[in-house]
Amino acid sequence: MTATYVYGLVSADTELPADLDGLGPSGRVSTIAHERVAAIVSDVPIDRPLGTRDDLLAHERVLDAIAERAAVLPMRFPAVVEEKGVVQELLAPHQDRFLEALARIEGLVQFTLKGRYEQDPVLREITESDEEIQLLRERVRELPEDASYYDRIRLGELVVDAMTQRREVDGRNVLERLRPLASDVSIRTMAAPDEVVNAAFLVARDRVKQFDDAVEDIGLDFVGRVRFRLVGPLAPYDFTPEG
Amino acid sequence: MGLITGLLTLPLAPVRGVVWLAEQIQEYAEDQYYDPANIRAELERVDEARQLGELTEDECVAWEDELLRRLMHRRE
Amino acid sequence: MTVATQGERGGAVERYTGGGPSGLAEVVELILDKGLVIDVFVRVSLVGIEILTIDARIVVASVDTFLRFAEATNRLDLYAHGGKDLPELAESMMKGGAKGKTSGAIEGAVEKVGEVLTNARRRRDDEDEDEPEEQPVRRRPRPRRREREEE
Repeated sequence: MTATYVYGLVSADTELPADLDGLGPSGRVSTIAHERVAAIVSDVPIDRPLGTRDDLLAHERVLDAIAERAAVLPMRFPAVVEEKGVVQELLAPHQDRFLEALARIEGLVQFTLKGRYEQDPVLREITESDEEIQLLRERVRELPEDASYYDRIRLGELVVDAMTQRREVDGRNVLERLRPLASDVSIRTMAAPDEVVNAAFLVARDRVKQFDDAVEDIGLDFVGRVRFRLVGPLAPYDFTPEG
Repeated sequence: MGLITGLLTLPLAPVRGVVWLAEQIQEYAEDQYYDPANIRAELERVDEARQLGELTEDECVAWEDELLRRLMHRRE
Repeated sequence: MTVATQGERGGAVERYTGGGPSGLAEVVELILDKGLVIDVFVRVSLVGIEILTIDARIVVASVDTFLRFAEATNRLDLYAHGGKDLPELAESMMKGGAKGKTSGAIEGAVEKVGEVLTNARRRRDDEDEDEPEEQPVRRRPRPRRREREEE
């Protein structure tokens, strides 16, 4: 049995970059093809569990390098299979679905945009525009800590509520400005109330500069209130079929 | 602080002695320790420390590997 | 991936070398949560390989969250103490609440992660001395030890 690590799937005629560095002992990355679809593979460390920092970074770098130029469906980490299974169980039975998914992402790269409120400026905004919050805040400041417990929960609740309302508006604003420049958008769950934006965009390669400029403009418009981070270009992680 | 509020929000249950309470605390502490959201937040802090030069690269890498081990820990 | 931070050096975007050490948090979030799940497609699991799985959970607003925000609100340094009259309120709202459009271009207002590898390599010559050394060309088999990452 040969353990094989799968990074992602490409169309069989894809040319891989020359200097890919795999996470296995050999460091080599190659392909296993079946008709019109191919898997990007390598050997895998067998004397220790997968999951070190190096493993994760290697997985990502291989995909980044390929995604730079070609459509690739990225695998989730880790993706280890028996070598025979690559064709028999992965590529052959699902070829059509993979080819369809590859066609949908052809010529597109992913960008992930995240935005988070600058805490103090926005808290100040919220507090100064809400009398109930101000009064509660004063009350809490006057009471000793254990006496103000339930008031603090209430205060926090009001603040979180107000922040959530604001982030809906700001978040929608950002999305509406970028949506026209993307072929597809995938909105991710935002757990924290101060998260304004967390979305993945599929952008045509020849529109990347335009998209980047638009994000820069948004960053300038929100400077001091929202801190943005743009990740990409990436393989389309958020746009892979569910299976 | 978080630990106390966690305890206060637990559903009321007959306190079967100190052992039960200790188990609740342990479970809560473990929840926090293994929470992927917390681990990822900590990964960000490592990056920050790295960029600010607060830690050496070796220290950052060691910390990150430890966080990943925690992240990968399979909890029953 | 490479990491660029928001205008820290007089507006210039800071860049690390290709495949640099930073951005692990982003990588983790991407490749552990997203992408094709191999188990969905392949029935045969590999014996003898320890495959570690993670338990992904979504955090929802809880009492801890409320207390945290209450604390932060408490610590705020407001323009005036409580009991502001309305005109003062309105004025401070306009000062602090308006979107912070500043005059003059601010380079790199957005933190960009993951600059294209080749671009980062081309920029090698322009890079600041303080940044970590670039990794050697990856042609030889990759040793498993961490020490190979010369920083």
